[in-house]
Amino acid sequence: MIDFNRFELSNGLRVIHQYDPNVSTVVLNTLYNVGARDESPERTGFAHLFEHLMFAGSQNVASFDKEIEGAGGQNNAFTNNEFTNYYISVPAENIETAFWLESDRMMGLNINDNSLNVQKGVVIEEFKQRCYNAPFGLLWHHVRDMLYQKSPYRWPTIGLTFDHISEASLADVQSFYQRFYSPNNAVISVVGNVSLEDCRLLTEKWFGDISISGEANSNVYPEENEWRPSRRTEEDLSPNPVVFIVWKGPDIRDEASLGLELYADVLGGSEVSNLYEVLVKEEGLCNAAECFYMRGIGEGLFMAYGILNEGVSHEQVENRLFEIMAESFDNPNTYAFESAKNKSYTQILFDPINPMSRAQKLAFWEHLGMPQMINSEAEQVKNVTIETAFATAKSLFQRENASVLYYNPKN
Amino acid sequence: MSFRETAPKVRPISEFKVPKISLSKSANGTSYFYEETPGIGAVSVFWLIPVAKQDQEKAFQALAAVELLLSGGGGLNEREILQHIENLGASVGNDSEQLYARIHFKCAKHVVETVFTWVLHHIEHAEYPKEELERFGIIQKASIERRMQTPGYWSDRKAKELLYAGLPWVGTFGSLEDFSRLDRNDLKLFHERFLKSSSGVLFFSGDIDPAQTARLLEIWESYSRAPFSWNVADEGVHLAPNKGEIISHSMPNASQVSMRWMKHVGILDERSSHEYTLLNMVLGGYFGSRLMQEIREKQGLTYGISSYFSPLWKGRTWNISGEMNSDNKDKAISAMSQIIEELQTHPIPLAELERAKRYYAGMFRSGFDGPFAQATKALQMLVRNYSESYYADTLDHIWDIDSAALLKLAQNELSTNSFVRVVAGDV
Repeated sequence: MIDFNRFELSNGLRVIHQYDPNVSTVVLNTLYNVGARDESPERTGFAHLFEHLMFAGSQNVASFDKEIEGAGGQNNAFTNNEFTNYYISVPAENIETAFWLESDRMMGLNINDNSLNVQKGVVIEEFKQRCYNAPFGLLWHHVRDMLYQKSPYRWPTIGLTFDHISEASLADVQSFYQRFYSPNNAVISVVGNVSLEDCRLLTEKWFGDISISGEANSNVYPEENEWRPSRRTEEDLSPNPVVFIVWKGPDIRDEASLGLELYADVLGGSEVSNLYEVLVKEEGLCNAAECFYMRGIGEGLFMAYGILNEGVSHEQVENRLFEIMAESFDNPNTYAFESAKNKSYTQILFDPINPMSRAQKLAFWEHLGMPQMINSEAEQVKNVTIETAFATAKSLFQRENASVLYYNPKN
Repeated sequence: MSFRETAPKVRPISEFKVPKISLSKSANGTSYFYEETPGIGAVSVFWLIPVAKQDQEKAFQALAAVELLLSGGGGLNEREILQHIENLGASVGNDSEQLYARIHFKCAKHVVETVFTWVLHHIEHAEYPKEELERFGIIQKASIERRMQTPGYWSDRKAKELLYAGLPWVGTFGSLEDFSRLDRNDLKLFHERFLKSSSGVLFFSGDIDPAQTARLLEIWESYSRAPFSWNVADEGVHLAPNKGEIISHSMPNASQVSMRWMKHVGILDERSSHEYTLLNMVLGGYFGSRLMQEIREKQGLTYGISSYFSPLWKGRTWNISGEMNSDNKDKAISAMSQIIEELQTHPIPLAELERAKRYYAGMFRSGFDGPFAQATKALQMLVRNYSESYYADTLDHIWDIDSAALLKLAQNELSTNSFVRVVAGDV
C-alpha cells in the first residue's frame, strides 16, 4: 500500500507527494498535459522539440543540466502522443535545487534564435538516427498513417518529417509555451525522503507565484472517420520481410483494456505463447512473433506481428496469424491466462520499488484523475475474468476489422 | 531582486556511512550475498558463473550454452519448463556477459523456493535438444542481421577488431555461418565443463528471510559444486599496432555516420580508477561534459555523443562515440580533437571539476538506494576485484582528486593517436 498526499495550489498546479524515508534522494516529476496530439499537422514533432528546448535555459538558469549535476542529481524527459514528462532525482539535502530549476522553466524560458537552431539540429539528428538508421525505424509512421485519417494520432511523436522541425520559428515556440506550459496544465509528483510539510512549503515557495498563462488543455481532438480497415505494403530498413496486424481498442481508463493486455500476453507475450510456439517453433515460418496491447489515453492499439524466415510469404504468415487468433477465441487457455495474471501481480510488486517509477506512475494517474490506481492495480488484475477478456478480444479483433501492413526490406 | 535569481545552496555529498558490502560463506563453502528488505513481497535472486566467451572453443558456444540452459532436460521440453516458471509469476533471464554468465530471476516471496528448485534442476539436466539449437541459430542470425543495419554496430565491431585483433573473446565476432557449425555436443561439453554444478556465487535480495536463504543454499549445495574461480586463461592483452589513421566503413543505406574512438586501459588500482572515471566524466561521461555541451548543446551537430568505459577481462576499454549526419562529421571530429587536446594542455578549472565530483558523489550514494542495490554493488565488487574497503573509501578518493592529477592522466592517456578511430555509415 502506497500512502500518498494530494493538494492543489491556487494557480491550479496539482501536487502529489509520497514520503519514503528509506531512500537518500527525492524525485520531482513534472507532467504537462501536452503531447504530439496537440500539434498542428504542419508542425508535427513540435512537442518533442519543445522537450529539448526546456533544457536550453530559463529566466534565471543558464544551464539546467549543470545545475542539477552540481547538486549531485540527474534528470531527463520524454514525450509521447499524450503528455510530456520531465523528471529530476537529487540528493534529499539538495531538493530545493530541483524546485528552483523546475519552477523557473515553468515561469519563463529564455530561448533565442541561436538556441532554437541548435536544438532543431539536435532533434533532426535524433530523427535520422531513430527513423532512417535503425531497423523498423519508420514503422510507427506507417502504422499511424494507415489507422487514422483525421486524428492527430496519425503522426508519431518524433513527427511526420524533419522539415516540420526545420521550419519551426521562435514565434511558434513562444505561442506553444504560453498555451501549454502553464501550472493549471501540469501535475507534479514529489517522491522520496521529504516530509509532506517540507513538500508543501517548497511547492508554495517555488511554484505558488507562477501565473496561469493559458487554459488547461481540454483534450478535444478531431473526430476520427468511421473505422476503416486498410492494407499497405511499405519498404524500410529491415533484413527480413514482416507482417504487422493492428486494431484499435479501448482507453486505459476502461477496465476492458486490462483484459486485452492479459489476452495479448497469453496470445503472444512470451516464448511459450501460442504465436511464438506455432509460427517460430512448430512451423518455422518466422524468426520472431509476438503481440501486445498498448494501453493509451484516448484509445489503445493491439499489434501482432511476425518477422518472416527466408522463403516464407507475407500471405502465409498473415493467414496463420488470423487462424491462431480465431482458435484462441474459441479455446481460451485457462492455465496461460492464470500465468499472465500471476506475472502481472509480480510486476505490480516490483514496479513501485524504484522511486522514479513510483513518481512517474503517481503523476500519470493523478493526471487522469485516478491517483488511487497506484494501489488498486492488483485488485483490478484479480477481477479480470478469462471469459470477459477473451470475449472483448473476440469482439474487437476480427479479421474484417484488421489493418494489415506488409514490410519489405529496402534495397 | 527576486529570490529566484540566486541558486539555492547546495550541499555536496562528502560523507556517507556506506553499508558494508561483503560476501558470506555457507558452512559448506558456498559464497553468497544476502540482504533482506521485509514487507515488499518481491525477491531477486541471481548467480554468477565465472565463465563466458573467453572459455569457448567455437564462436557462439558460450552464448548458446547459457541462453539454452532451460531449453529442455529432466524429461521436459522448453515449453513445459518455461510455462511452469510463468505460471509462478516469475521471470527468468540468462545472460552471457564478457566476463561471466548470470542466471537471474524475480518473483514473489511465497514462490521463491519453488522457482529456485525448478530452475536449478533444469539447468543441471540441460540436454540442448537439436531442434532448439537450430531455432536459436535462426533467431540469433536474424537479430545480428538487424543490428548490422546500424552504423553503431559497425563502428564498434571494426574498432574492436582493430584494437584487439587476435583476442578471441573480444576481437572476433564470428560469422553468421558459425551458428550452423555448432552442434549440441559442443553445448553439452561446455555445460559439463563449466555450467553443470558450476562454481557460482549467489546473490539474494528483497523480501527473503534468513530461513528461506538457508533453504536455497541447501538446495544449491545438494548438487556437487566446484570451488569458485575464474577459468579464463591469462593471455594478457596484446594490442594490434595502431597507425593512427581514421578507418572508414561504408554502408550504402545509411544516412548518418557513427564515429568511434577506442583504446585499451589496463588494470587500475582503486584510487586511480576514480581518476579515470572523473576524467571520463569531464570528457563525455554526463550531460554537462565537454563533448555533450560543445558538440550537441552548443553546435547542434549530433543527438548523442559520449565517452564511457566498457569492462574487459584484465582491464577496460575506453570508448568515445557519436552518431551524426555525414555533413557534420568533420566539424564534430575537429571539435572533439580540440576538446581532447585542451584536456592535455590545460588543467580542468576548479568549478568544472567540483561539479563533476559532486555529480559523481551524488550518483555514488544514490546507487545504494533500494532493496536490490547492494546486491548489484556486491556483484561489481566481485567482477572488478574490488577490496572490501573499496566502497567505504570511494568518497574520500573522489574528493582527494585535483586538476593536476587529471592533467597528468590526460597527458598519459588521451593522445589522439593512442585511439583506434573508425567512422562507419554514410562515408
